[in-house]
Amino acid sequence: MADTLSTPRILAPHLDAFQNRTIRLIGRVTQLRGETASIDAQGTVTAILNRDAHLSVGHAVEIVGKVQGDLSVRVLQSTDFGAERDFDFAAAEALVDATHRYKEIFYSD
Amino acid sequence: MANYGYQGAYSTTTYGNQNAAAEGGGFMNGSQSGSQDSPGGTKTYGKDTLRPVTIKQLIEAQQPHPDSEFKIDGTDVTQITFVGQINSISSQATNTTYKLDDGTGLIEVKQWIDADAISDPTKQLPKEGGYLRIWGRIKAFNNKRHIAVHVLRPITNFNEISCHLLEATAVHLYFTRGGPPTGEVKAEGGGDGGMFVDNNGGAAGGGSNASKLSKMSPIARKVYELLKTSQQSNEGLHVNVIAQQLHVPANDVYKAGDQLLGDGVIFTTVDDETWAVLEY
Repeated sequence: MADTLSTPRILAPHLDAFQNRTIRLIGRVTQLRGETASIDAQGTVTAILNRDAHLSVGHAVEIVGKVQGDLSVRVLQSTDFGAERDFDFAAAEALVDATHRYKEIFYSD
Repeated sequence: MANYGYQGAYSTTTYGNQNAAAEGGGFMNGSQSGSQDSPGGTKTYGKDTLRPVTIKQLIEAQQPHPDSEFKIDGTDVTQITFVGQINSISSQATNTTYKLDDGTGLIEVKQWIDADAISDPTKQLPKEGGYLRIWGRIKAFNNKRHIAVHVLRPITNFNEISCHLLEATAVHLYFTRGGPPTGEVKAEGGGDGGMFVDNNGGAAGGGSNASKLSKMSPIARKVYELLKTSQQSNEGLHVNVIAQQLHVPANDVYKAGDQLLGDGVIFTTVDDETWAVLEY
């Protein structure tokens, strides 16, 4: 049973395995194009923004969103994690790795 | 709230009552990362610890009887700490309830309002969408679980989230697989970092028993360690003697013995309750 309450942490390479699911993704904002933005999370992810998304280029961002059929992410909630230089992406990526390796304390399914 | 430990002889004190809003954390005397404890050393079972957890672990925590302590990974938890993003805030007359989400689940967190506290207008108030760090205890009320907060504060450095969840993983692995094998600790550099070192790799040089042990519960390893190192006749040691020397209940020793017997690293001698190390 897919737990609707949990939002697995993923990176760009995992998008394919999480189609139509709500996920959590941390990356750098590289480009803003009105309705969409490009996020770098070990690969480029296209985010379809909602109205209250306030993204800034060069900042780290955490997105909770739904993975679409074309592997873009429809944003449900976005949180600015501050300037890129202040955020440890290596730690966040290590965390994604740990969450999938030791799933039992993070996600059901 | 008294905390009845495994050992009746311990008188365990918990500080403060859970209703005080600005209550400080309790007495921390755990050895969560104390992987370097000598085997057979006094393990502080049943004492107050502060354990980093994920929300999923809180939701799935077991309560053997109503009113007893909750257990995570088979270990009693008293104080817990976690992080979460605020989903909703509801302010009531006596408390503020937050719904927090850390990506692994959703849980209610209650902070009781301390009427005597002097409000500090400069203090940053939590907002929806923001992240909080919580210190508290698990409470069950009418079959609903919530967290009674001792202290909370907003997270301003977001690396704390990665750090916390990795720490929770390390502690989870410590309780389910045990710390790095003793004796190998130095080679692995010891400390918390060692928890991510593959235990099988670490013990590979130690022969077949060592690699089997690395998959066992911490208590099974302690029992094995004791059988291997203590003075004994070729009859081995009786369960009660082991329980006494390790300061753990005989029940736990039986469970550990089942694991060790099942994997063939120890064998029964004069009766089913006397064991010796199987060397080959």
